Amino acid sequence: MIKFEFIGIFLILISIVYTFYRKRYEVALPLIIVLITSLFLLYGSYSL
Amino acid sequence: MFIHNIDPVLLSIFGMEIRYYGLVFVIGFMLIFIVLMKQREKLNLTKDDVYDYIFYLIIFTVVGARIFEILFYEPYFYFGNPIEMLKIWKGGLSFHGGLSGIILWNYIFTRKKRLNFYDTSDILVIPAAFTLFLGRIANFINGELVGKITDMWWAVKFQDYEGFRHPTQIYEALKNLFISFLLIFLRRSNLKKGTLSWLFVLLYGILRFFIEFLKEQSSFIFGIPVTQVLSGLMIAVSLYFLLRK
Repeated sequence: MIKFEFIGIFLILISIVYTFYRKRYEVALPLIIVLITSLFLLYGSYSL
Repeated sequence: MFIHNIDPVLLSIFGMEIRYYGLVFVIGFMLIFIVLMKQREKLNLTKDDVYDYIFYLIIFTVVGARIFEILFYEPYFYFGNPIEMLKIWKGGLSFHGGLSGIILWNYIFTRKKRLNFYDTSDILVIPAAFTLFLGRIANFINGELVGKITDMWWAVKFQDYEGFRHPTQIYEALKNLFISFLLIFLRRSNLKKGTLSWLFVLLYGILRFFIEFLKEQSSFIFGIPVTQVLSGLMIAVSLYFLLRK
């Protein structure tokens, strides 16, 4: 099963590419995607 | 003395958790977004520029923070398990890396828009410092980055750590709040461009260097804790720019 976390990273990668080709009226979309993904993906500073 | 039993999970949606840490991160960047939106006409930036700036600011911050974590804090673990490098949801972000990412992106953006580097950095350093204050509160809620064992009356017993310890996350939060207020106080003064930005770097570096003496350390360079080496670098670079101006 593909985990949500990898989907999140994939969406951000698409957003980065999208920022180079998007139309003007969709300009906020990448920012909204990265903010929502960050909300679910960021857990803390310390690993292991 | 306080026993830490705060749940780091704010809420769960269809099995996906939202933690205070993620929420604080998003609030912080929203704050920076609002401040930049209010100042955008002064900087001759369009709304689109602001959206782009914040989008890449987040990317550069997280990627920079992750790269430093991998290179300076746990290189053997990550290079032995490369797939773990991607798993930011397991934690592992370095402040110094995040700052380096922000500086790099601000440099790229201001060059592209023909602005002075400090036009944006002097404005954003205040909400950024306040975001760092919130971030340290989130670290405390997570019960991570704990201090050394102490018998001070304000010591905290964290889960998974033995003994009562210095709540160094709270010390750092207070440090960041102090820096925020100082920068707010100084922002109306007639300071040269860049002074606010480098003052932030200097104060952060000095105070962080000393707080690290109270923290448990696990990564060293030539016997010196990595964080103190990086904070020392912050002090040296900021002093260079402040005295050169």
